[in-house]
Amino acid sequence: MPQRMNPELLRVDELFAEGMSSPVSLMVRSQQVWMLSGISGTGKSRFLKALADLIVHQGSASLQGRSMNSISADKWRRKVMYFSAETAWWSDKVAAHFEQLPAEEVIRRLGLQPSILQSNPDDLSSGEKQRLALLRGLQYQPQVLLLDEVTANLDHQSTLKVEGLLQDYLQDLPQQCAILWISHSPQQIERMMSLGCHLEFNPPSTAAGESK
Amino acid sequence: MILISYWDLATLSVLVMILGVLLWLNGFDRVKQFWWANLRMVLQLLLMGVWLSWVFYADHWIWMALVAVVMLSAAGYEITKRQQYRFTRWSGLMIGILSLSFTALLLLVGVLTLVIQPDPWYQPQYAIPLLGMLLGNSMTAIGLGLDNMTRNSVQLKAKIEAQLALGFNARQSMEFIKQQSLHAAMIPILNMLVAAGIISLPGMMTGQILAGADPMEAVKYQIMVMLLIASSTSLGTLIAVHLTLKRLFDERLRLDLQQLSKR
Repeated sequence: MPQRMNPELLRVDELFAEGMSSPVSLMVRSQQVWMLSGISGTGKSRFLKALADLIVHQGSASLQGRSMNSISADKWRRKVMYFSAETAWWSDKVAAHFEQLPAEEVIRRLGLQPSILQSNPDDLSSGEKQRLALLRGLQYQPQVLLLDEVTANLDHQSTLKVEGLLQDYLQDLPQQCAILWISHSPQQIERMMSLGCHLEFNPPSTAAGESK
Repeated sequence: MILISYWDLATLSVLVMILGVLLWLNGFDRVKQFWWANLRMVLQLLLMGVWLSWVFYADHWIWMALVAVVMLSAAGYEITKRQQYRFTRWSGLMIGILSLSFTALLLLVGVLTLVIQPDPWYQPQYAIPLLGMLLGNSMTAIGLGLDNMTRNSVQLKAKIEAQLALGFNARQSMEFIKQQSLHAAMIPILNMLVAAGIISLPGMMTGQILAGADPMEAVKYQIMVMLLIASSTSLGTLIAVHLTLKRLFDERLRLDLQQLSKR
């Protein structure tokens, strides 16, 4: 696979947080998509949150050779961004969550109407909010996307649209970037695997966290 | 000035006793508390009177300083007592006392040395009542602001963490809560300012007029006190809200709610 030749982007070294079955080490190359799967309760979400420095953890991570602790937490999170399965909105208008409003064609591409920016997040479905939350994060052009079941509430068509948008994002971002994606859908893992690797989280009883 | 005898006060307290009975007959089940609160008020004020007379005659700065420390700690304690979510460890009390002393003490010393200028400047007759008024009002505002801030941080945790995940810093991700907290803290003082002179005759002015002072002089004193209260509550609230905001996050900008305990 050609992307194996791509430069190293993210290195994770013995990262461990409470709730994870075992420490995880891995190396992510630019343009790679890592699909994370495994039965619930093995700490996949905790792993991604630790990687975004959102929870207390041990071990270390570095982005393009710069370690997490050498950068302030807010700057790290802007580059290594966590997208939650449950979205939260702090203002009563969708547009207020954007510093730069997304282009109309991008919104339409995800199967949404541009007028949705004027609505109140409380009035939207969780699937609409998940797609908007994705755009909300992408406006800051993060280099590593940590996706925590972001298509869980979407129908098949919308899921494919989101996957397409993310693949283009990988291609088009001027900086190097990669995706770590928790998914429970075998079809989705199958589709995205053409771009990368698969990390299986195992229950605590067996050895876990193999990196290939 | 017409002096009030202790007998006059005793007569008035009979009125309170009778009203307590009336309340009880009408189904009010906290008559004991009502009487107790009245009795407590009388005892506290009598004690304050004895203490003040003594401080006035002793005329030494050390006593004045002692009174200030006692009043400050009591106000700080009252702030933490009214919180639904309290900081474990000392942080809560420290935030209260720090923001109070910074503002109330600073303004008090300022107004005594620059405006009223008694001799010496710490003369208890001026310093103690002024400090009391500043502390009483700032205490309420700071207490409300802190309570609003910690309660919202717990209830709106997801909204704060969503912003942290997007790479916002502590100040940015708490902005929407900070606004509400400042609002909650400032409402009582705004109401007081608006009502002054139309709906309510402020206590201090009433006291001075009753004691025979010229109404215009009493009004000028009251305006000064109101402006001082407005400044000290705003400044105290701002400091308290910022100290709390810093406290709520750890060194890697994670919302740390472990240190709050619900009462």
